[in-house]
Amino acid sequence: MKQAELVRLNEVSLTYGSNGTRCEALRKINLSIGSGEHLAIVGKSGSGKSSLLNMITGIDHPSEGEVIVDGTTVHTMKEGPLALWRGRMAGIVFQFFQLIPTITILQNILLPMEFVGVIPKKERRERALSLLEQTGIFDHARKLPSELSGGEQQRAAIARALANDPPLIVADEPTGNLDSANAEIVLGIFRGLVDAGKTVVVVTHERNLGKEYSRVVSLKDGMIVGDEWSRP
Amino acid sequence: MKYQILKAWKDVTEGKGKSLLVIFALALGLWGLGSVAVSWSVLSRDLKGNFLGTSPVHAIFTLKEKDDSILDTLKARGEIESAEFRDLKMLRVEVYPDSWIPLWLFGVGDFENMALAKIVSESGAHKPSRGSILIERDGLLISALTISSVASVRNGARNIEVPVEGIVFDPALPPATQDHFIYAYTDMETFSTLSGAESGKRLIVRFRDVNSRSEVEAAVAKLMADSGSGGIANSTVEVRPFLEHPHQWQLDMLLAIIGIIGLLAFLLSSILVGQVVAALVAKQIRQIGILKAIGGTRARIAGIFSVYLLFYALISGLIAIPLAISTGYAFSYFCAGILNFNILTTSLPAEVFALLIVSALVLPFLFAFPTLIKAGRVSVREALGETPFRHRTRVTGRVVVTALATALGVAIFSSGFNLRQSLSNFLTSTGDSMRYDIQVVLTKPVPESEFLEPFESISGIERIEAWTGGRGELQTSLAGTDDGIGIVALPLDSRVMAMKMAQGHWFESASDPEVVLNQAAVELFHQPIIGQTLSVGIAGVSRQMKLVGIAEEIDRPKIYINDAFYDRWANPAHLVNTLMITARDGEYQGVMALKKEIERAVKASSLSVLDVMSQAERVKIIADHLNIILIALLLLAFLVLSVSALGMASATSITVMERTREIGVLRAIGATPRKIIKIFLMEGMATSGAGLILGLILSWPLSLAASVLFGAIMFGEGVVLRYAFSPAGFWITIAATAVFGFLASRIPAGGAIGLSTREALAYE
Ligand SMILES: Nc1ncnc2c1ncn2[C@@H]1O[C@H](COP(=O)(O)OP(=O)(O)OP(=O)(O)O)[C@@H](O)[C@H]1O
Ligand SMILES: [Mg+2]
Repeated sequence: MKQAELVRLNEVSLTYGSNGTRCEALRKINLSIGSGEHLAIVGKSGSGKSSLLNMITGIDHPSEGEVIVDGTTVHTMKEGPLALWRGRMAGIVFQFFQLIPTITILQNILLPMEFVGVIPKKERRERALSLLEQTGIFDHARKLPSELSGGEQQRAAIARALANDPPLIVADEPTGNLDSANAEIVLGIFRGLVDAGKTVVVVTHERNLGKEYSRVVSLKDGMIVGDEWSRP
Repeated sequence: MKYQILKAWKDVTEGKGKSLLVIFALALGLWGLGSVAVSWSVLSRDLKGNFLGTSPVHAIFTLKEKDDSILDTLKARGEIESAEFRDLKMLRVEVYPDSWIPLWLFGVGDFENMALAKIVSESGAHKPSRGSILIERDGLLISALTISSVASVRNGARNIEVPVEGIVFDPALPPATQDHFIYAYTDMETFSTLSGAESGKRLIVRFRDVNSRSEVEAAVAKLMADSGSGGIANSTVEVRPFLEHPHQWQLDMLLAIIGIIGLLAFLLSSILVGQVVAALVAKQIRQIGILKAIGGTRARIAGIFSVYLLFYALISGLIAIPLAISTGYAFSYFCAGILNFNILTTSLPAEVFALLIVSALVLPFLFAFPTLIKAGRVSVREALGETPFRHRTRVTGRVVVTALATALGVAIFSSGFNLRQSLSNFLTSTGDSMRYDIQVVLTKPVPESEFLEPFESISGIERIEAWTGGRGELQTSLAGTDDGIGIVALPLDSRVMAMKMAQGHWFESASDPEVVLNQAAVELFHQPIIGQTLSVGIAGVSRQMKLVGIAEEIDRPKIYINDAFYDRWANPAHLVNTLMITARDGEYQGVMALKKEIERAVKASSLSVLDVMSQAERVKIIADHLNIILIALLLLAFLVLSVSALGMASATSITVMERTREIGVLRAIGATPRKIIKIFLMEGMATSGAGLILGLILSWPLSLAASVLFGAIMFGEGVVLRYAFSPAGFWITIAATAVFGFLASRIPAGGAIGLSTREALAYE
């Protein structure tokens, strides 16, 4: 591994429900993600992909095991600091965009900056606009999310994920709801991010993974069953 | 249909918190509406029923001369339904050791065959034996008198011991407890002996086939004009208010108050139900879309929601209807206790039940109607469309409604305080203007020395001032009075009177006749101007006096003049009828002790005393009465405020529920739980802030109206209590609203962070 380690999962297990309806979503996962990787997580539906992402972002806590991201032990953190840490460290892109519908696209991008406060006040607006520029929806800055197409909303969601310039971007089926043209735009943005030195982790059902990603991790029944490096 | 019921049942049982909220809100509205309906139904019939049950009197004639054949003469006339003798004289009775109040003594013609103004025996003798009395039951509450006790009665200068032989119930009279009287009944012979007055001159009469007061007046006029009606022709007559209990207005007031409360509860509940149902339906919009996509018609979908509402209707009806009936009855008994009548209704009329059941079933639909219409209209595309969050418009509507509810609570709460301030100002100003402690009033004027003599040896007395007065005729081109206006004649240098002047000054000239009017007299004189000369008929002669001042006094119309002029015009012997006494020990206990001493001196004297009153007692009685009303009012206001806080809490929790997923996203992008709570808290505080400001503005006209209304209730029509602003109340209102606003948003906002980020994100 030539890059420095960014994410480290040690013996991570996640069990839903109690004895009666137990469901082991993740079983003793060991995974290390280096800085600058473009990682795809694949697997059948129900194999534990989303659960794994939730471990990395601290959206959910493991039942057992440790999660360490950039030296921070995520699994022991309290909600408040965790939220701040997440806002700074990890940009999340949801499958259904999840933009706040009552505020404009621009305000949606500004929101995480206000929450976390790492970007100086004076620079926020400019940064937000440049992110919109970068994702190609600058013209929609003053629109409400409902006035945008699905592909545009997804790009806005990516711009929001980048708001605090996090080193890690995590996306759960970001192209699942997009047509191929829009999907290509989104993938292009991610490629650009990796080129700029970010670490991007994507759950996907796409084909042609080898061309796109530097590494593909396959899950089955909550366990890692494959881990391929396509680009040295 | 089976599916519908199943779905409805699942919806009811699954969203337990929301369901409880709907049921609570519905039950609240139904309870308010129902208890109002029940008590209206009971009270509106029962006070009338009690009153009419006595066969109330239409007119009272007082003969100049006794006429033995008068009853036969009247009974022979076709237009007269019944006529009886019912003598009346006001004496005094000792209700507790050395504590005396007025006694209304009735002389009853025939206890066995009362045909009108009937009284009902409650215990003891039906008919008092010679020399004894029956007393009205309400008097038991304000005296130590009871069956077989011996009442000390004083008639003029005479002390008489009178045994009490029975307790009766007379729902036609104003309650003794309110007016501080004892009502007593005896036969006509005993009446004469006890009162020293001639019996058989006061006649009570009911006419046949009369339907209004004016018809009674016409019948009276005809009767008096008829030469065949004996002594009636030159009697004096009093026509009673037609078939109306003397305190009917109080009941009307109470009914109006509960009507308002019921309406408020109804309003708030409709707001709550509307909101919760809207939130529930909104949550199901996606389901509606699916149902439509698979072929559910609009009617079908409305049907599903109807079944679901029916569950709520049934559950809340089962809770609220019995509750409404019991509170309705409880309130009726409470009113009956205050107004001294019996609750006669044992079973409610079918209409009341019908109303309760129909409103239980219909209300939820009424409240949810707009939402159901909206839900029916929503298109599949909209419902299934990629809009994970709902729109803001309804949220804003909810905020407005919540702010309005808060404003209502604040307005009532703060008005309660302002009213309290008005009353306390009134009490203080009475205390300030009347600097005497005890007042002794005689039935007729006597020489000053004779009046003073019995009290000379009492050491607790600091000062005595002797006043006089009488009645004068108002003489203006505009107004005349039937029985004149009270004239109070007091020394120019009076030290016990320091009335607050609304305009002008107190009379001060020893050479020119000057006069001061109180506000009620100003009203009666049709707003004369300071400096104007008034004509007042005193002892049959018209006297010219200059109006120099208008005094602030909440009382009947009164004229204050220098007693030097009164003596010169109408009272050459300087007879006096009132003593104003100041106590050495002005504290309540000291004054009461002095009053007892004075009563003992009165009892031992030959003075014919009408009443002995202490300023402290008067103020205390008023204050006590007011306090009960005010505490009730503030409690009520507090209730409204808390219900509006509850409305706000429910609105916030609905908002939180609706925005759960949004909260999840906010947390995912870096918002800490504190920040999220702050968002809701700010929203809540802004809402209460808006409600507070609006409420405080509203409280101004409301307080004004309330002081007018309460002035009229407590001191008689036309008496206006001055509006006062209560600074303490202002701050308490602000603090209470802030605390309520904080809690009502902080608690539900806590629910917003109760879920984990993952759960929040997955929330449907
Ligand atoms: N809240 C939950 N309660 C119980 N079990 C859950 C919960 N969330 C997920 N699971 C279970 O955990 C397992 C892993 O779920 P996860 O969402 O991680 O799958 P996934 O690989 O992301 O699937 P998909 O491709 O369909 O999104 C599944 O078997 C799922 O049924
Ligand atoms: Mg998934």
